[in-house]
Amino acid sequence: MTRWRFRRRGPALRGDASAFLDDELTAQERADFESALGRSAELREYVDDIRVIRSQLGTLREAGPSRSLELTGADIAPQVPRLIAAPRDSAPIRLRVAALGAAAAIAALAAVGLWDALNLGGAVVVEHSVPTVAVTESATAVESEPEPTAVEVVAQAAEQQAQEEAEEAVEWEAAETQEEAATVAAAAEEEAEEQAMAQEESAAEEDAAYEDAMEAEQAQQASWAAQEQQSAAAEAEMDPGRQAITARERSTASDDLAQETSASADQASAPPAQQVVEQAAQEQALSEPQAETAVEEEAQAAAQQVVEQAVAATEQAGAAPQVAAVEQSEPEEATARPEVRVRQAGERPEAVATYERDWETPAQIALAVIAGAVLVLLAALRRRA
Amino acid sequence: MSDLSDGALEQLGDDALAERARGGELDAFNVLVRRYQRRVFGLCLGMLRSPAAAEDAAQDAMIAAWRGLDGYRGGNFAAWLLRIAGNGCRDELRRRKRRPSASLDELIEAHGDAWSPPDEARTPELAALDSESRRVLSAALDRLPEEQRLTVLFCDAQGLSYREIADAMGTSIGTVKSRLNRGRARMRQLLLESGELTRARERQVLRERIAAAPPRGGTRE
Repeated sequence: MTRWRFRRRGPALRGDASAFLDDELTAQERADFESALGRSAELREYVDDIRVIRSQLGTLREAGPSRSLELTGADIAPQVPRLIAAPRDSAPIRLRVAALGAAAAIAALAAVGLWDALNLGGAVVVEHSVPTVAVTESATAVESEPEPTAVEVVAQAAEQQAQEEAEEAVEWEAAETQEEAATVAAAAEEEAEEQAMAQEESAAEEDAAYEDAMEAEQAQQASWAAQEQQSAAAEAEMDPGRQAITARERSTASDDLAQETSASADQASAPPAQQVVEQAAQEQALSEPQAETAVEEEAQAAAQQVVEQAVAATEQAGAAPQVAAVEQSEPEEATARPEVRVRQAGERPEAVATYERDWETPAQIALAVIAGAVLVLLAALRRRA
Repeated sequence: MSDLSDGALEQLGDDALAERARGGELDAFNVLVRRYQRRVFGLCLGMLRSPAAAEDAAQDAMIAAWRGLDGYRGGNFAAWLLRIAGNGCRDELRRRKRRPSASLDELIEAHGDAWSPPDEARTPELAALDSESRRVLSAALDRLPEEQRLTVLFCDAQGLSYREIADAMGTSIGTVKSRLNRGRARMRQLLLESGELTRARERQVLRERIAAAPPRGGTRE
């Protein structure tokens, strides 16, 4: 009975057993638990086990550190945050050397690019922009001329570049206009041919209708002649001599009529077709020069407009040569190396000086700087880790 | 430096020492360190089971307590200090879970009986019994959940009350009671299954007899 009661209230009593051993029960709870403890041997066994465990765990308090934990001045010194901590384990020397070399190379590259972009020394630009003198006839004149400065060379190069780009644009526009004119002329020619074909077909249809009408008329005339012959034969029975004369006259008239009919038929069929063909040829001959003239005029107008735009762009080239280059030239041309040559006297200068653009773009410079900073940061974080 | 000698400082209470330490007196704080370093180390050893790690954790807890003296509002300095040490041990256990190294058994084998402090007053028999008991207890403690283990250590190894444990762990007294009951029951079950509880009872009886017996030297004389 007592064991049954303990099993029934076991968990609650065991919870109280723990608090009973720790002296965390109230007076009433303690009295109730002691009463239950007196009745249940199993509960007493449980409490004894917990007491042993508790006693054994109490021995852990006796353990002490092997050294004193007292603090010193170094322990309580204010902590200085170290962004780059000393490496706990030394990394491979080759890896560190490679990382430092890469960081130094990127930093140097970024510095050179920045220097070039700001044109602080101008050496990079001047180095590629110094004119190469190729004098054959007027060497004296060339030598007597003062050597252009770097700024002048750059300005001239920019102007030359803008002019060439404008010329290229004009040529491109003209070629495009000519191509469009040729396309229009070809379309007009095709249209004229189609009209001539249609006229020929309509003329042929008229000829066929005319021939049918003539055949019907001849048949009717033949029937009429036969009737007259029959009537003449009847009259001849009454007057043979008169009938013979009349028949001969009618026969002659019939033959004339037949000849006239055939001749008129030939004449009626041939002239309209020839006229149509000739008209079509004339129209075609007229239409082609007109189309070509219109296309040429249009091309000339477009070319004139492009020339005007190019002139305006050339005027603005001194202020913004890079913009003109970006808008008009192709990427391969934009990255070309600068080259300036002084031509002979009277010879049209063809040299063009372009910029070294690999490191002039601020975005590229910023990218290089950021890449270097990231690399250095990664190295620092790795060393810290 | 403190205007009081070490002896005078030793006579001060925890709150007074803490107040002086808050003013920058390191000597006053070191008195508190000497007073509670054994308990802090015992708690850290019970949680981490490695003497070296326990010493490091206890040292870190002392430094953290020095830097956090402004957060101490008075009352029970020991509970406040053990709470700092317990939180540090839990953080260390979480770090170990993320970066597992050697197993605990290997650490025990490597460091021997970490629970046995050098005590010349104990007899060799008593030291051997304590060593065996602690080895068994440490194995059972290691199988408890982290919160139950800390609660059992707070209560049975450090002697904190339920209220102090609740304050140290930031929980309620009911939760402390529940964790303590489940932890002790689990330890009892583990020790019964391994047969160690019976032997622990026998060792407990023998330990009491040895402790009650007169010293051998006195008998010879």
